[in-house]
Order: sequence, then structure tokens, then C-alpha cells
Amino acid sequence: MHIKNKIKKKAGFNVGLLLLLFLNQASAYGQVASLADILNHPDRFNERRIEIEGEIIGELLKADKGLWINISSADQSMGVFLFDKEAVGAISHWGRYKVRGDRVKIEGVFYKDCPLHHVMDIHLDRLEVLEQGRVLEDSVPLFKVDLSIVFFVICLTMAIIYFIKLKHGTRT
Amino acid sequence: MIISPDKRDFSTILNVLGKLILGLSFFMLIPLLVAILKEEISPFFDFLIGFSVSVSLGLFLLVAFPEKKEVGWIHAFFTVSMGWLIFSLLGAIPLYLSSHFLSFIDAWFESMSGFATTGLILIQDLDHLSSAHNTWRHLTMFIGGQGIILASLSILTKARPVALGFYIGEARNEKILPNVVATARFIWKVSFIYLILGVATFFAILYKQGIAIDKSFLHALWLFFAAFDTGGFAPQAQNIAYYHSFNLEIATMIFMILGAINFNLHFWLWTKSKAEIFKNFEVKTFLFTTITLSIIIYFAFSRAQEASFMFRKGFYQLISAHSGCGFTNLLAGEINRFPSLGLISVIFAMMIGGGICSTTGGIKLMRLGIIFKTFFMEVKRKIMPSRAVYKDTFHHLQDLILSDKRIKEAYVFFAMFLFVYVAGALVAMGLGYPPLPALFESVSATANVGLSMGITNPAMPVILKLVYIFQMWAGRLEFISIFVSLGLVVTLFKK
Repeated sequence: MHIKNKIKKKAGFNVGLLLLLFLNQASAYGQVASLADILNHPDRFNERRIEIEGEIIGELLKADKGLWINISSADQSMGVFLFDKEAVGAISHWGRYKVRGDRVKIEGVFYKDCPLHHVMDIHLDRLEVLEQGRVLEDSVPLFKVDLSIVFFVICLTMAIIYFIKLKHGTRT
Repeated sequence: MIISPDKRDFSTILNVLGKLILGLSFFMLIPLLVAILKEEISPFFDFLIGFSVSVSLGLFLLVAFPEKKEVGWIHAFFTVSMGWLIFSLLGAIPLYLSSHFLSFIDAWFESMSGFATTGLILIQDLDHLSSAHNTWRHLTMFIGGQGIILASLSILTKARPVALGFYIGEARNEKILPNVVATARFIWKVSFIYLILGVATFFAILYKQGIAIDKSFLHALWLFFAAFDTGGFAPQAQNIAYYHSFNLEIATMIFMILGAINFNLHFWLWTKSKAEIFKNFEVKTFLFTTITLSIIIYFAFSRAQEASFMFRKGFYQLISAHSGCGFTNLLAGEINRFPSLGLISVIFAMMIGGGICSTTGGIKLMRLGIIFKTFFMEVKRKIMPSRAVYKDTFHHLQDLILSDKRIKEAYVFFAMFLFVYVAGALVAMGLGYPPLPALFESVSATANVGLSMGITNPAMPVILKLVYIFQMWAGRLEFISIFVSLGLVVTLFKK
């Protein structure tokens, strides 16, 4: 009986250990990280499956054997490589002047030294649009309009004074 | 005897400055036009304000300060050094109004970085910047790279003897044609031919990548300004890495090197002898330093197995540093993980820079070559009989004797650059930054390169921003015209 309990305890411990190992493995496989984390500690994430969130910037760029998109988050940016155009079909807004790009979640494998492209990049597995971007209103603050009128008037006045002086100077 | 300026001298200087400011203000019409074409309303007002302020100031100086003396060399030197400061301040106005900068000092930093063709940036959220502002950022590099005063000189109708003063004041040590105005015009002509070639090349690459036709054209134009004028700005936060294009990296490298070549050599190759490229002293020095530093980079990166890693990570940064451009295909913080030996190689490349009479900063190839040659000449002298008279020669467009005057000049500039490199690093270290990044950033600012290890960011101390602004300004003008101006100010106070 005593031996049976001992075996049971040991088996329970082993199962617990295996579970712990599995959970540990699972957390390393699909880590949620910020771009800053990845860029600051690339060794930690190298060749691992990661999840990042950020704004889609620019446009879809054609490459030799696939496509590139760029993702930006908190002043950090990185290129994401994909093979299939359909993966980004859901993107409606690409970040640029007057346009806030879609906020997306990228799932893929991060490479510190990508063997295919020889740069630091992410190879996309899945892209999910978390929040649609939008076209921003190009509003002009009132102070800018006022300032431009004031300085334009000063500019014209100076030009008139200059030409009067020039004319006067030429005559004398 | 030291020339002591009086009120009439300053009136003359301010009058000339007024004319130059008027010239600069017309460049602001280009981004204004872009704002209209791209329907960017807010940027339109930013540039309208910038243009109006610049024209008003220029006209005010013309009206209030008549030219009371014949413009001389002293006026030219003072005008050049003050001109660059005022231009960078005026150029910062539309940038600051874009709301992409934390303070006016940040916008001034960016503007000076552009005019001095440095490429260090403090702009925020660059990916959402308007086309008009991006045009201005990159245009400042083109104006500054060609020489602001040179731009004005080339539109003067007649050659005045003082033109040489302005020309030398902007750190151009060689005339290409006997007449300085003709030289200025030649430099513009060469630049416009390369502009067409460069824009066409970059456009083809970008358009093939699927970028819209108008955006491809604008990006091609901006990248050309940044590459040929060795500036290093790019319209996206990731710099060259944004495009993920090996072809673009090769093309930018070619135009960076073309920009780092002495304009005199361009002239020679175009109009006289193609063989000059194989004999030229600066080209030989460039090959020697590039090969040596590449070997060091190779050993520094020996852990990476493939040559393509070495090329994209090491060699691209090396050429970018050596040409003084500052383009990078690395992501944020990647350069900080370079092996120390690799970083030191990049620092050395930045320190040296490109050719004399080019758009690059730094000690320059000619001076470094002369210093090397002097060393070997001295060794040879020691071996020779004591009565022997020995003078070494070098080939730069013609065979030249390594005279004491040339040696002295090379050492003076070498010492001045070294002093400013170290002084800037000490300031950063005093503010708590580690030595290697502090030296890296200081060299990058003084030699007008633009590569950064991360010290340059909007959160850095204001004092360091001001120090780097000074370093960019002084490095671009190669100190002399600034020291002459400071000397004049001191004599004024001594009166």
C-alpha cells in the first residue's frame, strides 16, 4: 500500500512536471510581445512564433518570392514578409499622411537574421484586423490662418517699401 | 594686424544676408507647390507662413541695412557662417508648424541636420508626415549639399572677386573652373544630370515594387536628394529598411559614392580624362580605407556565415558612413548590437568622410592621404643621407608636390575635427551616456553622417541637442568661417 502510494505520488509529480514543461513550451510558442521588446531583445524571440499588434504603414510591397508589409507601434517599425496577398486582403487603411492605418494583430515567426532575406523580419502566418483605420480630417488650426494672413501682409508691406526705396534710390 | 569691423561692415553683411534669405525663401515655394498639388491644406499654411516670414526678414534687412562697403572676404566668411544659422532657423518654421516636433529646438535640429546634410532626426511619427514637409526636409539637404551660398552665387549675373570668399567659406577648397560662378554653375549642372539619372533609377525600382506612380516619383526624388547630397533622411521611419529592396540598397550605395566624389574629379572625368579615376589620390585613399575597414568588418562579423549578412549589415553601413550619407537598412537598436570592432570601423569611416569639394563632411580623403604620405615621407627621409632633399608627390588631376603648406593644412583640419569629435563625446559622457555611443554620435554629427546609436532622440537633454546643432554647423563649414566670425565678434567687444 505504502509502495502504491509512493508510485501514485511519483506519477502525479511526473504528470505535474510534464504539464509544467508543456505550459512553458506553450508560452514560448506564440509569445505576445511589443515591437520594442523584440527589437531590444531579438535573441530572446529569435526563430520563435510571436504575436504583435500595431498600425499598418505605407503599402503592400512586391518582393521576389512574396510581399512585404510594414507594421509600426510606439515609434518602432518592422517589416513583415508574406507569401500570399490574400493574407492582407482585410486591410482597408494603410497608414500615411491624413490616414490612420488599420490596427492589426500579426502572428508569425520572428527572425533576428532571416536566412531568406538576410535582415531582421517576421514571416507572417496570420493577420487579424483589430480596428479599422480611418481618413483623418485635414483641419487647419485657426492660429495658422491668422499667422499666415499677418505675415503675408507684413511681407507685402516690406515688398512695397523695398520697391519704393529702390525706385527712389535709382532716381537719386 | 587683425581687421576690426565697424558698423558699416555689419550693415554690408546684413544686406548680403538679406539677399541670400530672399534666395532661400524662394526654395520654400517648391513644398508650397507640392502642398497644393497633393491637396495638403495644413502644410500649405505652414509653408505660406515660412515663406512670408523669410521674405519679410530678407526685405527688412535689405531696406534697413544698405550695402555700405565693397563686399570683402571677411564679410563673406561672416555671411556664410551666420547665413547657415539663420537659414536653419527659418527652415525650421514650417517643420515646427507640422506638429511633428516636441519643441522648436527639435525642428531647428532637424532643419540644421538637413541643411548640413547630416541626417540625424528628432521628428516624431515620420510615417504620417505630409509630402510637402517631406519635400522640404529632403530639399534642405539638396540646398545644403550644393551649398546655400553657392546656390545664390550661381544665379549672380557677374563674377565678383569676393565670390571666392563665399565659396571657400562653405568649405569648398578647390575651384573647378577659373571663375567661381562658372564653377558653381558647373556643380549645379552635374547635380541636375545626376538628379535625372538618380530619380529615374530609384523610380524604376520603387514602381516595380508596387508603389503608386506619384508616390514612387516623390520617394525617388527625396531618396536622390538624400543619397547624392549624402544627407541620409528618408521619408519613412525605417529609413531604407522600409523598402525591403536589395536593388534599392545597391542603387543608393552608387549615388552615395557619387556624391562623396570630388566635383573636380567629376569635371575631369566628364570633360578631360577617364583615366584620372585610376590615378587620383583621393580615389586611391578611398579604396585603401574602404578595403581596410571592410576587412575589419569581415572579422568583426565572422560569426555570421553568409556573405549577404555581411554585405547588408556591415558593408552597407560602412559605405553609408564613409560617404557621410547616413542611410541605414538596420532597424532601431540593431547597430548597437554590432561587435565593438565593427562599430569602431564605422566610426573611423565616419571620421574620414569623402572627397574635398564634395557634399560630404569629415576630415576628408585628401587630408588623410596627405597625413599617411607625410608619415612615410618622414620615414624615407630618415633612411636617406642627411644632405638629401626629398619631396614626395601625389596625383590629384595633376602631379602635385607634397608641400609643407599642404601638410600643415591637412594637420590643422585633422586636429580641429579630432578636437570637436572628442569634445562632443565628452559632453555626452558628462550627461551620462556610455563612451562608445557618445563618440559614435559626436562623430556622426560633426562629420555630417547621420547614423545613430539611439542617443539622438526627442527625449535627449536640450544641451546635447544644442551641442549637436553646433557640431553639424561647424562640421559642415569646416570651422574656419565660424572661427573668423567669432574672431570678428570678439574684436567688436574689445573696441
